[in-house]
Amino acid sequence: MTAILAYVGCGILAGLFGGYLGLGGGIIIVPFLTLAMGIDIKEAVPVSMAAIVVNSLSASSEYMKKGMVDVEIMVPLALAMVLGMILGSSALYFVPPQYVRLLLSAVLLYTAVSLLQGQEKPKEHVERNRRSRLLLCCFLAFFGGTMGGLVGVGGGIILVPLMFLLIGLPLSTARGTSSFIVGFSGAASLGVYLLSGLVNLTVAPPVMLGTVIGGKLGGKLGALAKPRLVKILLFIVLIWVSYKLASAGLRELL
Amino acid sequence: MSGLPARLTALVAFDHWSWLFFIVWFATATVLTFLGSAVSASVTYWGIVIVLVDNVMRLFILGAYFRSERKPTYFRLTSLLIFALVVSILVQLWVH
Repeated sequence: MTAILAYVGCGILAGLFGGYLGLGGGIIIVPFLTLAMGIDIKEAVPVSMAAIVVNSLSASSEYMKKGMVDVEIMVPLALAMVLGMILGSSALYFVPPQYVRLLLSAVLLYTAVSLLQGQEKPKEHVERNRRSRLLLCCFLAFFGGTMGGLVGVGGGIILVPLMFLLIGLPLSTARGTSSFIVGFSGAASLGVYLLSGLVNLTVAPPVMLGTVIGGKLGGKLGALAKPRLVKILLFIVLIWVSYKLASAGLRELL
Repeated sequence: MSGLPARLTALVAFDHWSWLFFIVWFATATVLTFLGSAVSASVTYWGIVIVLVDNVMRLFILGAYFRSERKPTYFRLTSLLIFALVVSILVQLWVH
């Protein structure tokens, strides 16, 4: 009973956090399942992926209700991300992951600093050269997806800063749009895990139940959040993921 | 929400009902797991299948929105995204 309540609690927390920031929530679920509950990483990742997809379903509609999802940016970016992830997962056996980890770590570190310095841009700036900046963003989302597929990092952490810094979307719209996209990019991996029998069907229900509840709350709160607070939280997450990638990459390299 | 186009309002309504459905579904699966029921694994498995189908349904609604708004490029991109999702599952299954 205690374990089930802990799984539900973890799901609620991940949903809240992920929904609030427009991320998937895997950053909370995977460490909790592996470190606190002693579950193997190979079982934790598929459960986390299932939770990310339901989190996206729960949180993104809250952003959509408030008009904080740009569907015209969402579709090409989701497509670029999914294609990148296909390439990344396919190249898994040909590219040494430690170099990709180090490269992605440096990119995320740079993104974290840029994000903290970045300012909300006026609407005219967003409309100016929108198409060419969207194209550039798609290229970067494709490479981000490829690197993410190679090292197992979800899309949200790459997409939110990209949309904010490059396209110039307000941070709230960037998070709303990202929360939509992570559902689609996660669905592709979840399908594979499910068909391969890799999803732990005992742990998944309470985590998913918690995430469905937490995601809705996270989306509601996220749609009302102050940009400054979101920026600081995203900065901390980016630095944390960058550190984890760098330490794993260096450990494998040395 | 009142400012949203009709198809996007339909998407929000669809998401709302799906959300309620998933709460009930996964709460049932959690209780069954706690009771050690033999059917809990099947309930969870089919719950995840419905989650995946739900994702594709959202893309179909989005495609219908682009079609009604006469945005053929985005409609094609949405169709391509549905296709890419299916292909990605097949490719990853082949790779792994």
